[in-house]
Amino acid sequence: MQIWIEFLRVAIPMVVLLVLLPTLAARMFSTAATSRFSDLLAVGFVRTALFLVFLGFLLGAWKLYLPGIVFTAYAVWIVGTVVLASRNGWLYDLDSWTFGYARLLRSVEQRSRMRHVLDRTLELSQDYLFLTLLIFAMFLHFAWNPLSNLRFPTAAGYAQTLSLGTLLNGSASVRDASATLLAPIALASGLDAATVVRLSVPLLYLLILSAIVCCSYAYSRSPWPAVLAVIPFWHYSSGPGIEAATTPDATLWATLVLIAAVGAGRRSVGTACSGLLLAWLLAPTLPELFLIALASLAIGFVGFGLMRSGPPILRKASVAALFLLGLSSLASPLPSVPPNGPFQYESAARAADRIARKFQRNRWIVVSPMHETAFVTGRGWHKELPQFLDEFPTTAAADKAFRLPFELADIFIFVEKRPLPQIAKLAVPGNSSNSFYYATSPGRTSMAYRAAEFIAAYSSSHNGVTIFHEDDDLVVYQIHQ
Amino acid sequence: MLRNSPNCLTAPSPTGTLRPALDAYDLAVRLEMEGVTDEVARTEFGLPSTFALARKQLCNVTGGDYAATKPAEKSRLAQLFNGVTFAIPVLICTITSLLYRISLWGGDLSADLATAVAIGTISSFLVTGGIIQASARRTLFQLQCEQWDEARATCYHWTLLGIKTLVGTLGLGWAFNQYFRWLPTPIDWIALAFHLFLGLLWLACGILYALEMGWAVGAAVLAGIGVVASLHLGGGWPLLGAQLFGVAATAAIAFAVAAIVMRRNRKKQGRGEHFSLRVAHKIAPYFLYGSCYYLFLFSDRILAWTSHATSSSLPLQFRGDYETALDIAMIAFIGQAGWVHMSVLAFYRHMNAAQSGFNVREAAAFNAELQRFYLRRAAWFLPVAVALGLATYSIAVHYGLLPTEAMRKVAAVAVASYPLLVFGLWNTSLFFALSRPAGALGSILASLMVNLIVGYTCSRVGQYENAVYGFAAGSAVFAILTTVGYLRLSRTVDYSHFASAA
Repeated sequence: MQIWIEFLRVAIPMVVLLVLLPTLAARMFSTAATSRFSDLLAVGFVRTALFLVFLGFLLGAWKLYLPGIVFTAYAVWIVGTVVLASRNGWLYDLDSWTFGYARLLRSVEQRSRMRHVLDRTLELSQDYLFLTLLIFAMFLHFAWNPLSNLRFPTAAGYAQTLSLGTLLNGSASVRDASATLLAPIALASGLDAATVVRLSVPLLYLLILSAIVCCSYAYSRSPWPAVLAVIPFWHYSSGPGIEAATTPDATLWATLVLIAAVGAGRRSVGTACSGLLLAWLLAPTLPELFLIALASLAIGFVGFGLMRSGPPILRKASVAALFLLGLSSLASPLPSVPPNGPFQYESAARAADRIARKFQRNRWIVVSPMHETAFVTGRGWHKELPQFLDEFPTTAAADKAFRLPFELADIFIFVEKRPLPQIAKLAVPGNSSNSFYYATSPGRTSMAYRAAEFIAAYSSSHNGVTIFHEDDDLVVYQIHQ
Repeated sequence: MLRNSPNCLTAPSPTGTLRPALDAYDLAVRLEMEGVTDEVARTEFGLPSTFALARKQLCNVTGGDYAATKPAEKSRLAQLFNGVTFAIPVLICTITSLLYRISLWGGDLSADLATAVAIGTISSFLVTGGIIQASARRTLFQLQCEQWDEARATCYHWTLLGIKTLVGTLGLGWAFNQYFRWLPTPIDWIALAFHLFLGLLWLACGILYALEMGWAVGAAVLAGIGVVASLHLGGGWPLLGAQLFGVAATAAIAFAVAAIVMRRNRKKQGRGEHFSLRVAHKIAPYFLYGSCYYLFLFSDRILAWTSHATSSSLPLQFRGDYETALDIAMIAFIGQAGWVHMSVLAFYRHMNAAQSGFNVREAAAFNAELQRFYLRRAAWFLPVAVALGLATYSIAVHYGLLPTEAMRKVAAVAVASYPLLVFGLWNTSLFFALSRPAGALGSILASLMVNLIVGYTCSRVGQYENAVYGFAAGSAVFAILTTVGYLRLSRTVDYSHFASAA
């Protein structure tokens, strides 16, 4: 239940800040009669995302990424959008405010008009019902892994969490554009960086599915190419290509290029250019996920062309086959994710998260391998276990006079009972000693052994050592000072 | 028998239809209807005003003592005291804290607990500030009309609204903290408890201030401190628990005193003024002003306490040195604020006197006279205020009360800013006296924005104590905007005076 509440806490600010408010601001007082809501959605998202990324770079460079400045700038951006979208100078005209108020009252009173809009929406959605259900089911299917596991399956997830945490702490500038895009969402959600990054992945996946649908519709005016495109996309991105899809940068990149393509199709140069520029800022290289999306779209268009050009019986058979294909896709088993690894035990991530939630901010320190840093950044302190063991040898810990030099209430030391298996047997020459400890089995075993030795020595001569968490793989010791 | 007596003074009336006057007010109205202005009363009857003539005539008829019916005018010292009564709780708490290490709130607490108390204190002011301002506006109007029943009922309704708002914001605050997890348990509950109990205390004090019973506020606060002392020192209670109980006791005493005074003066069971759309429309500017004013007063503290707090255990860290420096500067502010109350009373007196000195075709001269009065007062105030500020700062430095550079900077800037704030308050009081709250509201809103923007920027780019520059900039803007606004208004003060009485 809690994870779904947290998911909503990420989803609602993301939709409101990146899509809803910019779209409403552009549409509310717009005098452009031809502006379509779906176009405005894409334009609003791309422009606001571009603005937030630049704002993040700018404020991050001065170490001033602070909630007050960010939300004031965002408010100015929205008001600016409203002012630029309207051409009659209503902002300075008192009468237009009065008329606006009167119009609002009238629209509330005229229920029939609202019903008409609702009817039109429902009528439109009937054509897209199957597609909508398909996308929703795909989204739930995809979201299963990030909703049920705290650890990240790729190194990019940890790196992005650290970038986001660094930006929110105002401790250094960051070059990660997706972190600057997620930062306002993190501020509005009140959640930690790791949770925001993890839960934003399925939302961004939903975004790329929507972008595929928009792109299909922009060039065909039919829902069927989209159905034909999303099924192969989903198969490739949530199956063997899962690692590619779980990188927010890649997802955003592909989404933005698709939006740029929509803009080009609709002859909106601004949208196309903004989308491409933002995509370049996010990842200058071509992500694999975009190629999958492109191939899926090609399959969609070719399939739709064949359907349309063939005899009616083939068309009906194709639709029936699509339904069956969609249903069979959804009936396929959930993607199998290993219970642990590749960078940390799931229980280690959960223990670090539990510490951060349970204990008062910045009153504790976690001493562990580096991957737990992502779960404590912005909430507490962290020290890497190899450095800790180098600084405080076991012989010193056995001395009664020895005191750990942390002015904190609690120290948590993570010790792996069964060192996390690693593929590499030897460290890569030229790399730091950390690669030996983290990426090789002998290094990991040696680190765990030394940590256990330290704890044994310390607890034999000091009071206040308790076990905070223990399972078959990991034990977390708590030293209360 | 008076010379050239008007008809209404020669009762019974020749036609036998004119009933005897009900009271002095009724008779004064009848006299004015017959053209007996203050000037006529002065030149032809040798009395200072029409109202004095009415009182004298009634005494002649009823055999009463004219001198006894004369409204008592308070001495300047009493006026000054009335002007500074708002600071009584803070002053008493500061003194008892310095002398006996015991106070109604604050004191010898850990940083986290002090933060909780500070949050509760500030939020209680922010929530109740607008309600107290709006309630006082209506209650004072009814008390001046001697409508005690209505005033009592109005106080009751507004206090009830205040309590509901306090409870509502309590729930909102709890939900907000559950969402953002800024304060851990039990810090959150302590902050919420102080928010509720201090809010009740401010509501009760608001009623007593409206009744001009500042001494009762002082007595209630002293009794509350007595409760804290007996529970903490005698009963061994934890300080925070004793303080919460003490604040609740103080609020209860203040409410009880207010209720007794209101009940003693009541004449009949009145229903008072219900909260309606009409009342809300009339009172909204005063309510908004009250809320914005308290936000203005505390915004620099909030900015200073939230600045550079990423490595602290709480996102809002109470900084005692900043608070101490501001508290010391506030001593000068209290003295200056007393001047505002005196000046507003003097303005009323001068306006009434000037009004009877000019005829209807001399409106421009009347306005010019009031403008001269305003400028004279301003010319007196500014040097005295600056001298008071300098004296406060020098004494504090001399006795080592400002040991760090940051504290001296905060105190110096605050001491320099308070005269500007007080001058703005004086202008605001004149806006309110002339029932023109829009000018005050616009000024405080603009000043608040300046305060927040400048304070935020300075405290984030530099050190946290730079938040005080926001307060200084906001105070300067407040003084300038209200002065310009009043000088504009003073060109047509005759109309505003007439309209405010309507």
